[in-house]
Amino acid sequence: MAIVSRTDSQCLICVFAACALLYEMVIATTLVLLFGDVIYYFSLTVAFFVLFMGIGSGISRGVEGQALLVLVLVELVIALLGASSSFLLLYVAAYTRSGPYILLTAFIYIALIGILIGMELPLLFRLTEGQGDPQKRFGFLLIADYLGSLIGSLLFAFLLLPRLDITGTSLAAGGVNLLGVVYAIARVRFPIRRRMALLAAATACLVAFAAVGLEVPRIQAAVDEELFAISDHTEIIRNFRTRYQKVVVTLTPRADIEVEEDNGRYRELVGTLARSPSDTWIAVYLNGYLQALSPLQSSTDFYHHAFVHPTMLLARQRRRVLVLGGGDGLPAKEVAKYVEVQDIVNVDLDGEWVEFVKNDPLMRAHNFDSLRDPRLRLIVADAFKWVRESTERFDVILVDFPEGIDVPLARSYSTQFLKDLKRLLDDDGVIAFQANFFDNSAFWCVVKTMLDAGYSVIPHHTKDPEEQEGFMLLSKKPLDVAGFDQKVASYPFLDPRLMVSERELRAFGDPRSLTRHIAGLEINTFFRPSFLAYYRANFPWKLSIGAD
Amino acid sequence: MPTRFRARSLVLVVLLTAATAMVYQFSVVSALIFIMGDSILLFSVFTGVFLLSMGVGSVLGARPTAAMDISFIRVQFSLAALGLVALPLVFCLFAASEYARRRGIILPQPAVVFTFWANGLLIDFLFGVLTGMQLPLLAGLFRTLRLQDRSLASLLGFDYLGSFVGALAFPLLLFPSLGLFRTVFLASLINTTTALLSSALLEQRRSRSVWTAAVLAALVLVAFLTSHTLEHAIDYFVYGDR
Repeated sequence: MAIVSRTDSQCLICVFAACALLYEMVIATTLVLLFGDVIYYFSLTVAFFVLFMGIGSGISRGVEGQALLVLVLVELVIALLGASSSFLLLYVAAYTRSGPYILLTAFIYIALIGILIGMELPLLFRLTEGQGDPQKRFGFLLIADYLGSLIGSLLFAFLLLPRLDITGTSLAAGGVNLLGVVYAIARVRFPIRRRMALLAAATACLVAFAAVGLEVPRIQAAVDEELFAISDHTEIIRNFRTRYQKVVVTLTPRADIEVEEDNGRYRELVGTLARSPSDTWIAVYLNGYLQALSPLQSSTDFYHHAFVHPTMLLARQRRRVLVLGGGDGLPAKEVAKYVEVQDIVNVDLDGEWVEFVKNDPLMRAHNFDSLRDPRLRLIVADAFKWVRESTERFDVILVDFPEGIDVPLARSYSTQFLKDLKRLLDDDGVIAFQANFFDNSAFWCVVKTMLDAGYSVIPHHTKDPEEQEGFMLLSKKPLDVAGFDQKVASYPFLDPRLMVSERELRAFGDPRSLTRHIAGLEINTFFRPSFLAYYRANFPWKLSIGAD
Repeated sequence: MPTRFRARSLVLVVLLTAATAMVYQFSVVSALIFIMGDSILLFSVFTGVFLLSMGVGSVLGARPTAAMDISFIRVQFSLAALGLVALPLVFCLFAASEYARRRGIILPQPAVVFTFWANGLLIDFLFGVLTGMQLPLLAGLFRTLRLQDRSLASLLGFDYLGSFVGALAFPLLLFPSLGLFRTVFLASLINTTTALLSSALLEQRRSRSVWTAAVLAALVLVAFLTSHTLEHAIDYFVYGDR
């Protein structure tokens, strides 16, 4: 005697499958947000979900009788786990800042949700017993299950994630899951007392979800504060999401920076050198990655000083400059200091972000209104595409994409992109790349790829002894560094203490030392992104988000 | 051939094909992410479509037919063949559109994007249908061959295990060390092997299968060995002589 009719069972499995897929996507997307590296974390999440679903389907065989009660309880627990998953993961990320803890939390969630999801289909199958040929019955259930997954995936990509963000999505999925539970209880003949108890439990959960739903903005704000706070006095003054990225801007008193940083003396030097009129430091994060930390309204910041100026000085001419990325206007701010610059083309993907930077008083004060410089042409486009289609030529090209390990990063270091850039580069021009690491296999893999693409390369790094960030200077002919120090001295806005010296350039660019460093490494191409493997090997489970 | 040995070997086939299904799925999505960006959108849509097509496949595979053994072998060979052409097809489309643009032929952008999506989804759908057909076919085969019930129950478990292995091996091992092309060619070679193996186990059309497998394996091997040339050829069409 069947307990659940065929239509009911199909509806239920469709709803449950959609929710299951949403939980899977929510966990994978949260991990991608925290660690970058989309292919890696998506595959791993799917792999472990499948494994535990298998285990769950095995466990369901041991359920004797009471299949309906078990199913309802399973769904209640799934709804609770699924709805809380993104919150707890972000919470653990914010308060422990530890990759292994986050991954452990994710693993526990995946294991529990996976096992319970694996039990859904076999249990429902058993509940439809006695309604015709088992094989056919199973087929119909399965197709509803798969249809639910498709609906879940489409809802996630086109509606839920863009509208509700990750936390809202997980909560919404939990709510829909609970509605499924209520439907199941309502449609099925239960002994009345148990039915009331279950209904009460489901309703209580629904009310709780709704209450949490109203609090989402505040919870999100608390987590953000924890993630992006450099000190107790850090103030998050801008926090919004564009179509492409999450933008966070914070202000911190200078005193706290010096206390927080082990290397306070160096930062103090930078702050003084920068002649900042302000006692506040500004930090800009894109998708959680720290882009720049510097005194507010200072004439320069140590990172872009070290990145932009050696490139400008080593190019034979400085008339036409291309900036890829750099929507914060900070590379353009440094470039605009040279009177001989005639054209600056700045290409950034995110129109909302550059509009914000152009109009926000704080950002305008921070980048000295560089995006409104009359010499600057702002283009909103995918830099890869724009470069591939452009026919312009430039003396200097600065590649300053937001950091983070991801496919786009591997793509920007690929042979293919490097070949494209070459076409835009003047014969005596210089390209600069940046990397948030230096002197490891990932760095030298990129250098080898550049050499392989036919460039002459000089690697160098920021002068911060604690956190060296790497740069690569690329040119078609070997660069002549003679007289570099004199050139630095001839520009009043340059400070030799913040950038590489002639002696260092010679040492870094020495072909013998380069050959030694790149020996045995694979080059990074579009088809074989070996960079990702080297990066992962160097920074296993590195949390790529937040203030630390 | 002892029945138990046959049942166990068929379970091994299930494990391997479930693993290759995951590898195909992730390879196609990765290729499209490299070409089109927007990774989370692509991942979620393609996962959903893959699951749905597996559902369609499982319904198709559950239809009672006389020649389930032949269907099963054909499915394996089809997977191998699809694995051989799918990714080169994606990249050839990309190369063709870039080559046209470089030659000054302006293609309407929406049409290009539509073609990429349609092609990717079609490939994903075919992989899903073929993968989904296997399990019900095998379940039917087990019944007609009167293999032990216990092995039938373990089929599903091995299917899950294979998916796990495939989904884990792709990002950790295959993609970084072999690259996209060689990864799918390896999967295609595995499917050729499982096709041949199941043909031997089911004692069906053995000589025909051997020929098909030989041709496929030769093609896959050539593709595997010339994959660097293929990459350079695509680069040439996309970037010209630069």
